[in-house]
Amino acid sequence: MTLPGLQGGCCWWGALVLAALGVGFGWGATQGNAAQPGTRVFAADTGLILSYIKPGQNTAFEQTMKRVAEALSNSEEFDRRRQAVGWKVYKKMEPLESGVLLYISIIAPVVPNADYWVPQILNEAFPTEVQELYETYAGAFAHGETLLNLTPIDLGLTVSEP
Amino acid sequence: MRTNLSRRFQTNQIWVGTALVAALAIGVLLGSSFARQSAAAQAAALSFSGQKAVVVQPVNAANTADYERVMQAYGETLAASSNPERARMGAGLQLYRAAEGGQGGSVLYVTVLDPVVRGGDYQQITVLAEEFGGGPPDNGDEVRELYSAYTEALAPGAFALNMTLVAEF
Repeated sequence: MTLPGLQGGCCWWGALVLAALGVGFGWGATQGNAAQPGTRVFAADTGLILSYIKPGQNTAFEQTMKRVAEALSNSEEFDRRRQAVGWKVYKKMEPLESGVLLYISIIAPVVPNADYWVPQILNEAFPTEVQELYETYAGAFAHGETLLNLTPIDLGLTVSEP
Repeated sequence: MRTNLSRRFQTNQIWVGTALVAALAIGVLLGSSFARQSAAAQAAALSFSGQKAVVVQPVNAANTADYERVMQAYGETLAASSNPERARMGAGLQLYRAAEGGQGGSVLYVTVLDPVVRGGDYQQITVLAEEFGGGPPDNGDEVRELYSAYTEALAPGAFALNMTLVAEF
């Protein structure tokens, strides 16, 4: 025995449950991203990242960073391409104690609110390769990274035009 | 006879006196020159070999204004130098303050040298002693004050990085 009124009500209830699920999923996904520990967003105009790399892992790290450069430079997103313009990676000439290698990213200017988290950039550009790239990248680290938000100090060194 | 001897003795006295005064003057000149060299030698040279260099300097939180004042004097001295090498050093000098604190509540300052002037001595006290305020001997008191403010501002844990470019996106 079916009751037409209840049948219609079930459709409404089903739609409401699906809508709630969608809203909940969207909220949950947003919260998850916000709480993602790997997020690298700078608050200042200039950023510095010190990356401590295991001895012998220089090639792995440098190759990964070149893929990051490729991903940013070829991105369809304007802000991603802007990130590429201001990002340079340097290597400290002499290893640290225990042979650890220090790489220094200087980001100037920082793109406001842009995420500089390497695995996320790789995931957007190379979704089918990201697992392997991530493992290579993560495996290269000796002591993680240090991030610094830098504010310029005016030294009054204005250079006059010739 | 006695008069001749007396004159000769007087002449000798004048020569000896002149020689002593001359020796004293030469001694003072040599001494002051040596003292200047010693003061310069006390501050070890600070040079860099990379294309670019970064110096991370923790500064006591109470002394940040002093540190910035000394670095400003240093930068202005470099930029205004008649020595082309020092002027280039000044042109490539940038100073930043990090939002993130260092150990013991210190404030981290980052000096970026881009490009590095190879062979240039970046030692702050040497540059200030030799050229600040028109150079010695008139800048002694000012340089001493700057040096004192600078050394009191520094906190332990500074490090310098000589860097080569790996990837330019």
